[in-house]
Amino acid sequence: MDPWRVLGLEATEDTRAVKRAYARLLKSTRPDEHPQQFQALHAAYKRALALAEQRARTAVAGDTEPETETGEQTKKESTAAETQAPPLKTPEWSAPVVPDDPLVAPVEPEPAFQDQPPPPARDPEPAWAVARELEDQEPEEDEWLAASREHERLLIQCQALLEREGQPVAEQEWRFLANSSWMLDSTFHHGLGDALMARLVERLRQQDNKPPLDAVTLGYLNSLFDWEGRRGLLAARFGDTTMDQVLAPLDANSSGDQALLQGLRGGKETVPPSRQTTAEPEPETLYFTGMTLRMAAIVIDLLVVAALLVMPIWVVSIMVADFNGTGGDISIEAFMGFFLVLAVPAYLLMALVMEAGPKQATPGKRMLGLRVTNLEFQRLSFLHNLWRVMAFVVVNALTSKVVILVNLFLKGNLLHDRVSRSHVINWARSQREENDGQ
Amino acid sequence: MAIIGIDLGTTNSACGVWTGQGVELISNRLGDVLTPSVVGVDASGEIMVGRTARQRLIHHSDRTVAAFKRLMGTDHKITLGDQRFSATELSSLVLRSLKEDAETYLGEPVTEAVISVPAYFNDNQRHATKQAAELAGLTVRRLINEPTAAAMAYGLHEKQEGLFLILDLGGGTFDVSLLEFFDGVMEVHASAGDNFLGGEDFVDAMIDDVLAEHELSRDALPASVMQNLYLQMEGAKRRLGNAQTLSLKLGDREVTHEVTPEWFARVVTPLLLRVKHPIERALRDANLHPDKVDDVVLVGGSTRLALFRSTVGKMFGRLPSCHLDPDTVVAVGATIQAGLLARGEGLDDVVLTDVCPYTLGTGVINEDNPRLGDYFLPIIERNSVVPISVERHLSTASNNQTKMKIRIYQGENRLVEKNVYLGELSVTVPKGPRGQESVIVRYSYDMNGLLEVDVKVESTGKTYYQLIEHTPGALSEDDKARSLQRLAALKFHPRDGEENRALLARGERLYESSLGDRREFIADLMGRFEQVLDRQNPLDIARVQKEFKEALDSLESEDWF
Repeated sequence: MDPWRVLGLEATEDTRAVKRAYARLLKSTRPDEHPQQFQALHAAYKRALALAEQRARTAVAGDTEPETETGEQTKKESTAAETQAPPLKTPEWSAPVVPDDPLVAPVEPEPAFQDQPPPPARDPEPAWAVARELEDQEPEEDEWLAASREHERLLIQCQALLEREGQPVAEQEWRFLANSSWMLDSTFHHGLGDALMARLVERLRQQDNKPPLDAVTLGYLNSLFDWEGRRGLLAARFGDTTMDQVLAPLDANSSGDQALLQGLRGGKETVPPSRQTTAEPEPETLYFTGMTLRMAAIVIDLLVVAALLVMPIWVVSIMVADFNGTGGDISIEAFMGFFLVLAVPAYLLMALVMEAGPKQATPGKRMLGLRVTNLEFQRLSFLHNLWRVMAFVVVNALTSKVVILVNLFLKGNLLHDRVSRSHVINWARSQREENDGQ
Repeated sequence: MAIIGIDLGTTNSACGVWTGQGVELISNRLGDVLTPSVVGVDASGEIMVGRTARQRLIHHSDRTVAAFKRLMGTDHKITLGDQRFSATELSSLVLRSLKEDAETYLGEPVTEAVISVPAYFNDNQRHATKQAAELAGLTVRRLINEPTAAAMAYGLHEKQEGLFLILDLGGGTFDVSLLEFFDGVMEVHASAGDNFLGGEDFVDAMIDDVLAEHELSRDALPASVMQNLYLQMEGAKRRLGNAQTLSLKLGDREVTHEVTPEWFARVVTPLLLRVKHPIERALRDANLHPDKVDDVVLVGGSTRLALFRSTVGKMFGRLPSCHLDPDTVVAVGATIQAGLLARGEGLDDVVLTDVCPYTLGTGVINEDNPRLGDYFLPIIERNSVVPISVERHLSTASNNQTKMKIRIYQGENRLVEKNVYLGELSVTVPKGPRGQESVIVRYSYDMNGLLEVDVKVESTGKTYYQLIEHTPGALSEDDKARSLQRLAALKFHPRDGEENRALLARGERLYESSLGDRREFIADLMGRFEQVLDRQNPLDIARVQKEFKEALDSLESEDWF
């Protein structure tokens, strides 16, 4: 869409006019009231501003092409603007800063923000010259020399630390960098950060692409030099892969809560958040559970049920016996009778509740690392599990011997699983294989 | 009904109201404009907020907490006495105190507010702030970015047009905003910042250096010793101009420490370097040369540091401006925004356009190097003008995939795990070969800096919609109801007599940090004051209160805060 039409202007090189038109329209297209129209207006404003600046530049350059207001002309201009407008990703410090000769000034007195659309006239004043103006100190020549000497001195110290054999270098040993009063000077600071990075890259090559610094040290130096923030610029100079390799420990190191808590004042204690929900990644491949494990799980479950039931049954049977007046003597038959009547429903009830519960398993299944899921490998609903339990009863009660025989050939996807459209997954094995695979 | 403007700070909070002639900052029950963001619980379980609570930070550090704004948007809980609070709840207590002060001042109920947040606050932290307000019984009409608020106050005050760089170094956060002001338009070009950089960190750096010198660790010292050390260093930081000798008690050792500007400069250099990074980034994002900036405006108490000023001065080759009180300028700006929302009289028609300070996106499969983890796919780029709504098409990554999980992240790292996790959304897609099914993911970012995400499955047309849920530190509706109930049950110190309690708390602090005769003298003073308070004769109380205050003032010739 033609930005000029949106703004209700003729194409102009007067940025002030563009701003005025935008301001006028904005009053009736407030961002909170008309978000979409506002986005369109804002985009047109930015475009028009870029076009106006472009026109102003070509006018200054003496390119006096006759300005005809044909559609084609505008179109040509806007494509030109498009190639011009996005922020260019040229590095701030693309000039090689690594000093080969220690006497050559390593720091280039260039403005830090070179990626301006109109290439700015070289700022003749380095940052420390400005500092001198503010503080009224020695002449520029000496400042410049002092800066480069300091740069050299620090780099030599860094090099020594990097090349030290045997004893590993602790993070504290790098603290000397922050003690230099020059560090607050932008030009010096950028120059040193880039030069040190060049040394790290060199070191990386010597050591067969092993990262030259550990995570803690790298974290500290990054807090001084903002390599992470300037990664794009550094990658333009040293290459993407190289930067990945040097900064790899930083990527692996996750930011802790320690810094967060250090700032807090007072309070008896802080209780960290419980992390449980998303901790476990799902394995890629899931395995069914074989017959042996399935049987074992049922045996364990029955033992659990028995242990839980024996005591109450015993008490009940004594009470029943008392009531009948037969005295403390209860027959084994009576006991077994009670047990069977109670144990099987108890097992089914347990399966119904626990397999649809958060652990998706009865105690026996859980011990063996099994999980009951639906066909999408998600937890069953209670209704679905009721279906499953019914299927289990019906299928197994009807023709138990035949069913067991058939099940032996079904590779863990048993008959009642199929009938109830559910799976019993060997989660423990799935995870094991997943970890081995990596 | 009036909308109040609130600056909910790490160290101090303040509020104000637009009156038609201008901004009126509201004094709290103690007559101060600034209410320290400190919450304490006394022995009887009653809650206190502000200066009274701050007096108790040293000697009741297990029942008092400050600087909890740093934990906003996390699931950490803080124990005070036998109660447990989240940062959101603690903030709501501060907000409630400010709300009561405003109601007393205006003589009518206050239910709506504009609250300022650091520009670089992430989505979780913004939600937490909004919920804190809800718990305090306030509806948030707008969350305004702190530097933007400061710029509004500055712009309206100076009536100047041009391009300004606002640097806001508060107690716990640092924000940078690049702002242009013309023809009643206030346009934010770029924002950047550091959520964990503020005045408190400067004091921490000083403490760490002293402890390192004496080979001690923080854990080895009791909490009250640390608090005392903290207050001494805080005081020293405020009087940096001339060299001072502090005598510090470190556990069973007494040491003297020389605080000189040189020592301070050495200790905080790493922090000053961190100050520079966001400034450079904001300029880079806006594609501007430092020369184009017409004025550098300093906001926030910590910008009083001479070293900070000279560092910034060197970056821009000129001295920064500070015509407004850095402590209250954000509250003034928030109040102006409140006035604008209420279309208050006497305000010129100003339209504010803001940006989203960080990139928002989602995780996508990294096929080049799966071991590194998924890549981050930006959807809304940082420093896009808001409100904004952006759509991206995403397709299935494997054959017969039936579910797609859209994870929502914020940050600048190209590895998704290194960014801030905001929440996720699961959608069901029909089975099909890889890449055949796709969804449209739409991110909408509003004027308050809050994000909404909706996902539409292209083949079925089904739309999944959600304001982000399951975010760290956020409360579900149930949690909120429970939290409200719990907070409602808390007892607060009654408003009347707050001045007396603050004085007694101060007396107690002085008593505990003094020895010998001085100690007895303070005990005597406090005893007499309490006797008069018991008799409940307002005239006597007013007279003795004044005497007591003067006595404490003379004992403590140098106020530590």
